[in-house]
Amino acid sequence: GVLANAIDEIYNRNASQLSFEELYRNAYNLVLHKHGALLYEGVSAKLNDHLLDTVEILAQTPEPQLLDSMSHTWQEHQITMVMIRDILMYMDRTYVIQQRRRLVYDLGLHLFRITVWEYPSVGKRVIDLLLEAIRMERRGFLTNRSQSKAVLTMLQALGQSDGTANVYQQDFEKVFLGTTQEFYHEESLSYLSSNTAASYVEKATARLEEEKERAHALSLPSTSEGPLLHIMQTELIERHAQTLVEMDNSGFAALLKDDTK
Amino acid sequence: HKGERERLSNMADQSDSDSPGYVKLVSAEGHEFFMDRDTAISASQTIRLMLEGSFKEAQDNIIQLPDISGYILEKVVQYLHYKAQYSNSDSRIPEFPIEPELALELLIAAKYLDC
Repeated sequence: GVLANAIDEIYNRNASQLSFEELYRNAYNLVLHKHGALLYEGVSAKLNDHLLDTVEILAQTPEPQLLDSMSHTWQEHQITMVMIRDILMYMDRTYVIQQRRRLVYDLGLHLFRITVWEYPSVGKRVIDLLLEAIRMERRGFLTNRSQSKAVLTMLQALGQSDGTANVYQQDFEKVFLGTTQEFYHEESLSYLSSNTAASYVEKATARLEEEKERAHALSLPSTSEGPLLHIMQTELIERHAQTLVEMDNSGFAALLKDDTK
Repeated sequence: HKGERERLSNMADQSDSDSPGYVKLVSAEGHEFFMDRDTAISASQTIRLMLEGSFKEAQDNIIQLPDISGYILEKVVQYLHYKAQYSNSDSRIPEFPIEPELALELLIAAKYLDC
């Protein structure tokens, strides 16, 4: 009907041709005449159709463009959902609350998560690309941080619509902390074998600052910072504390001994 | 009275590129009412959605209300001014007069406009 077509037009970025009043009134009258369920289910099905189209495109997008496409798709989805939510505002305030259904905007997040994000060749590849970008930065290369940040912000938003699904933690943070630990475990060993203790500590401190700065630039939630720094501390310092003290000639014990002469 | 309408109409046309001062509300029969845009937005949630969104109304700054008759819309516009004037006011608030024969339609319109 009118609303189904409108949703199509909104997806095609033709909203400025549409009368908000007409669509609002349509939805308003449907709900007023006890057809809220019909409206809600209809909107849900329409959104689902569009998201299925979207995910098909993303699934076929090659790696070099995937982060950009993902980020762009997410921005578009948010813009679209705001418009759809506004048209359906009366339903959100009456039927949705009375029947304890998800608010329209949250419904959009939920469907986006299960239809787009959880599609195997989308979510998994995006995570791999995010981790790869971070690994490249750690090796000294420049990456497109705004893309990564947009996607990471998306993960945090997707988890908010559903009480149980902490998308960011389960899909990204866990594996991010794991790869971080592996990276610094290896790096610390190779640093140690070719540096003085003082030099090592300087490099380790720089790495700590770098990770903090990156977490901030990527808008990682503050709950990630604790575990991240803990891992850095453990892998870079605690594991090698003994070694750092005992290192021949340049270890801290040796330095102290020299000072007291 | 008509002269005032024309003056307001000209003003609306002149300033339509950036945040114009007036919005045009059109009744079912085509009566045009002009009112201060900010007042309309603050007094009616539905109007706020229309003017601050990305649809035609926000582009043209014109709101068609085919379900609201002219004589009701006129009263609504008066009410929106009244509401904006006396919201958050400490002074004594005068009663807003409603002729009984308009009451039901006015109520329906007010519910629709969320004001």
